[in-house]
Amino acid sequence: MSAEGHTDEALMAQLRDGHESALAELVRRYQNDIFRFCLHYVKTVDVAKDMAQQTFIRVYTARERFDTSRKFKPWLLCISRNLCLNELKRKKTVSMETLEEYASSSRAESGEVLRFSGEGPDELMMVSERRELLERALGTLGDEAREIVVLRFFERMPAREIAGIVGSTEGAVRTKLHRILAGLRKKFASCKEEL
Amino acid sequence: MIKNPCEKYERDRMALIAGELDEQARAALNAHLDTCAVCREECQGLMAVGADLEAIGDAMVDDLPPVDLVASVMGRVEQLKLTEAEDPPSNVVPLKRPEAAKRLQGVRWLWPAAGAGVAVAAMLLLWVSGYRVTRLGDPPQVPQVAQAPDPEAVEAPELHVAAAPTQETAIARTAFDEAKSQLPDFAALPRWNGNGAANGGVASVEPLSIDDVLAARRAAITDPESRSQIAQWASLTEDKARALVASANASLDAKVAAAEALSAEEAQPVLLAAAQAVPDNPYLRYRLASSYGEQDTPEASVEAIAQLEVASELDPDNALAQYRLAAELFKQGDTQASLAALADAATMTGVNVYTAEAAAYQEQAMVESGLDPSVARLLAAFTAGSQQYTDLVDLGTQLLQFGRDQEALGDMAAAQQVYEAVYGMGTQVYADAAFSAEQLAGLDIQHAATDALAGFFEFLNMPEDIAALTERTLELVQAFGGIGEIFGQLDDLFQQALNSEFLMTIADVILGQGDLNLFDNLPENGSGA
Repeated sequence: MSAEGHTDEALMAQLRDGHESALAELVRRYQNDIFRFCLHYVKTVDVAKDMAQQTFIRVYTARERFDTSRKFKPWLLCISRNLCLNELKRKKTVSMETLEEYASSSRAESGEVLRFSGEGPDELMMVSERRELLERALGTLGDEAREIVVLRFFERMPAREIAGIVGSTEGAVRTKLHRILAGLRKKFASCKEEL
Repeated sequence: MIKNPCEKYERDRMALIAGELDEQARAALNAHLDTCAVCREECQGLMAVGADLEAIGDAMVDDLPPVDLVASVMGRVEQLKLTEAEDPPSNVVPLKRPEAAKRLQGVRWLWPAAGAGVAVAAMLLLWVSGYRVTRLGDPPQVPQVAQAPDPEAVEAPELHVAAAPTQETAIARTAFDEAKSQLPDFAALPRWNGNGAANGGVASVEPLSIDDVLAARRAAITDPESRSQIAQWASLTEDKARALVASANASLDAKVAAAEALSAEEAQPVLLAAAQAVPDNPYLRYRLASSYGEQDTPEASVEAIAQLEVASELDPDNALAQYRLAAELFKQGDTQASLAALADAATMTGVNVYTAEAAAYQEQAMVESGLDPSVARLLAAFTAGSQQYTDLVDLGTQLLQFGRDQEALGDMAAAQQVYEAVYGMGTQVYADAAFSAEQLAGLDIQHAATDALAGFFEFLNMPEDIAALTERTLELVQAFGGIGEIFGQLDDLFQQALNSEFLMTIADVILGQGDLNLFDNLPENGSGA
């Protein structure tokens, strides 16, 4: 049975019926997304790869539990998130606090200029300096806020999907996002004044 | 600060940040921003921070090479299929939880969910029988390394989930299984193997004397059918239960007991009326909640939760309602609230399963069904706790399954919390038991939770935790041995010549204080003919 061209949910139905080729197609579709998603939590590439692989194995072992009337991707992300959080607990590391370290180590020193407010030359700063400021502000966020930042701005997920993953409501996520951004902006401003 | 005229755009601004503002609303917001400098500055500032965050996120992954997990994932799937086909070794149990759970329910926990028409007393004996079947037919499992189906199809096995257990884990698991194998053969424990009311029940055995009951109790030591007979005598048939419920002359107590033999739908009006008549009785609230829970609908679940909350208020030191509440919340999908309920339960004084109360109701129902009061009292004493045993084990099974569900979804922390909570529930039940049936339930729940945890820790390659479970299992071995001795002492007692008066004293003590400390509470000069 050809798996290409089917919806994710149809592939899950096929997998449940014993067609493992459907899982292979789902892996092909989402492996890089899930790998990147995991990387936001666990920081190291090898562990993120492990977590991504575990995620798909979980998809297989939980195949009969999946409700094909629901969307596959949020379910997949939910599994992946839980695996990553558990891995971090298991290793007794603090995941989200390492995000900024990871960002610092991986960012390009290319001299790229980021748009900030877009309001004139005073608002333009070298990317490394600007990111350092924002990353410092990010470092003051709690785990929950940091996770929402990751899901919304690193993973570009809308609030509805975030709510499904973190077990909250869409309205609550919107409110938190607004509060987080306002807080980051304020902290960014104070960091800037300190420099 | 946004001024009042702008507040109506705050929701749109939040939707914009959340990535969920449609084109029409976006146009309206833009039109407002064109005319309002305060909102424009606020909105642009927030959006700019968001854009910076996106850039930071992009920078993290820009240089990442693509991954190719297809071969490794499919290789692991092939391994899993092979091990499933081989009736898996214990080391892959966590990967096969749904199937394993089904097997467990089919063999280890023999009874169906507490429901209509099932003789409550007989259930205890079914369990013991099931326990024995499992124990004797389930030799210690030696961890085996899963076979690799095709080395070329599998990338370096670097996953702790995908990999076979480490040697340390395998050794720890072997020690755990050896400890399990020391759990005693339960031939010495009473086994009730009848079908209770289905084979007749109280209605078909009149007239019945206490000599008949005593003879059956003596015979039950060596003849399981006799124990089954006692269970049947103590049970109400559905017809008899309906007659009691419909009777204008029947007491509320008798009707409450009769409801146990009926379906949840039939039982509910009876229990609701009882709870309304005696609103501060936590047992009735709990029974009503359980009845709602059996219906397994969202609406009934809400009602169950409401009744459990009342029960908890009425009996605040008793964790029973919290455990049941956790199960209902899991059914509703509210994992966080459920875990919170489990955490609350762990902090409570203990678990009171209301065995004495239930036995009193049952005794009253038997009397009002026509049994001689002395006979009813003796039967109530002999079968006290059997229904509570069923309820507790059913609840423990439900909660463990929720833990497995969490594990299957990858939420290992939640799964572990549930397993540990169920183990804690078992220890509370055991510690607070006044009746042997309760104590058995506590031990069996602990044992089931320990098994779940062993698989869980093996799955995560955590040998030290498995070793701790081995210690727990050795403690269970001792505890099971202890309860076996109690059953032996009880059997010895009933083999003696006992006059009717002393027999009723025994029944009084059991129904008043439980059977576990029967010998401490009997009058010294009462035995003998």
